[in-house]
Amino acid sequence: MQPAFDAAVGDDTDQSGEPQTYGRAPVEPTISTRSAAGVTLVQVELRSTVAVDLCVRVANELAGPVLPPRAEGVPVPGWDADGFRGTVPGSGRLGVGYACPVSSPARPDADAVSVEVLGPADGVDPTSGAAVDGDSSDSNTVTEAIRSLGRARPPADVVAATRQSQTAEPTDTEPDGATGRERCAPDAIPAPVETWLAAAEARIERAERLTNASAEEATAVLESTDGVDALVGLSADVAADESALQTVASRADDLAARAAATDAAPVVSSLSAAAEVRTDTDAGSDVASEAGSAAGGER
Amino acid sequence: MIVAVTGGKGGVGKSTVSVELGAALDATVVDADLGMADLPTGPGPDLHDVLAGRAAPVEAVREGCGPVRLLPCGRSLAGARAADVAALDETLRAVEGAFGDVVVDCPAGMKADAGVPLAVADACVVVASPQSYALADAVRSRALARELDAGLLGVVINRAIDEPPTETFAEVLGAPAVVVPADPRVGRTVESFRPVVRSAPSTRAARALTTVADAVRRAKRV
Repeated sequence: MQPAFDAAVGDDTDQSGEPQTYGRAPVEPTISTRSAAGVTLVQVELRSTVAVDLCVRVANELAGPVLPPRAEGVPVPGWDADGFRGTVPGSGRLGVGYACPVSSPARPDADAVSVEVLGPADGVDPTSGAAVDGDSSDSNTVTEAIRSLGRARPPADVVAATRQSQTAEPTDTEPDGATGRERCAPDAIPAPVETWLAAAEARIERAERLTNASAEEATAVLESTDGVDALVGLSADVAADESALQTVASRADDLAARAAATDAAPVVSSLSAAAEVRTDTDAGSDVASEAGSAAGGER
Repeated sequence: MIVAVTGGKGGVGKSTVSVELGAALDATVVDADLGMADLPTGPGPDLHDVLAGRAAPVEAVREGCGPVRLLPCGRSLAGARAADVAALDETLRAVEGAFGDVVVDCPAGMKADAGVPLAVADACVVVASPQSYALADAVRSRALARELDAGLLGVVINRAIDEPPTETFAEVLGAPAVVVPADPRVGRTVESFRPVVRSAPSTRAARALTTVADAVRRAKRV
């Protein structure tokens, strides 16, 4: 039976009552906890007092599940649902930490975990994710593949409007903290369009500088572009920009005129009011009649 | 047996080779290109649904509507986002358990969506394009497969016009290499769903692909 060490530092006897060969525990843990926003962060430092690599298990004793550190969404090697298993180097230290969704442990820090020395590290590093406890080595390879290769991310939506039709999805490309339900500022241009316009403007500016340019001016442009090869396609690019911009301009004009001519607000508010009436039978009849007259009246 | 068809670059012909091998082996082809479905699909649950937990793997396998059993991929970005690539492991095993051999059409690239099928597969086939500069891409795929423990059974040098440096490919990649010439019938395999291994078995293309299928069968018996 391996001795299981309570987190109390400096306890010289083990649970089976046998006297220790050394005066201290082979692994001395220091545990600290910090609670914020309903989550407790647990920090464990394990200090080895013997010159042999030791395999240890750190088990969570708080009344909640372990939220381990993750890489690419999969737990870092050595972590499982109950805690961590890893190697403390001989005469060295190992630090691990995790989170637990309890608001406060309400007990001394040292009781947040239990530390158990499992024996000497047997050369198979448990932190490498190699098969342990009969796990299928394939699923470890899968999680290792995800961790080391990184998850492939499908591209973010190009058009902002489509975000509103999806339920709240976390994307890490959300600009300026705007939520999916807010509209952009009235004259804000979506980022992809801004990017395209800026690129076109850069090309057009370069072409302007080269139009009827003096030798000095032409040299300046040549220096900034790293050689004449970069300028060979410039005329064609700018011509393409011109026709694309004209197409977009006329389409944008049309859409702006159509947008100005709309006035959906009255009907929409009547429809929402009518929808409320269906679910809330205590609503006054004047709401229902207002919806009826608005729907049957104008337009 | 689960065989992954991989090849690093897009457009080398992984999907075509997957359908051909699936036909030669009477295997189920799984289109694991989560971001960009390669093989035809129709109404019904697809791999996006399976990987998001909305359908069981067996429900998404289409039988009888083509020359091979097919588990197609979804085509929406929303579906790709909701799909958990880690679930591909149990999905492929469930399909293998229910239907037998599986051929996985892998996506291009080196991210987890390309790596996970290799991690799950018992073996792999690398598809390469014939130019000597494409050898580097094949080598990268080979290295990834080795890291993830998928033994290389064969290399398919696809769409060859002139005679490619077959020995060089075989030596560098460490597996037998076959040449599939640029044959318009093979080019139509996916869209017409008529694999040449069945419709034109005496062509050089069909014989090359059958050689690879034989290598897969031998690996199974070991």
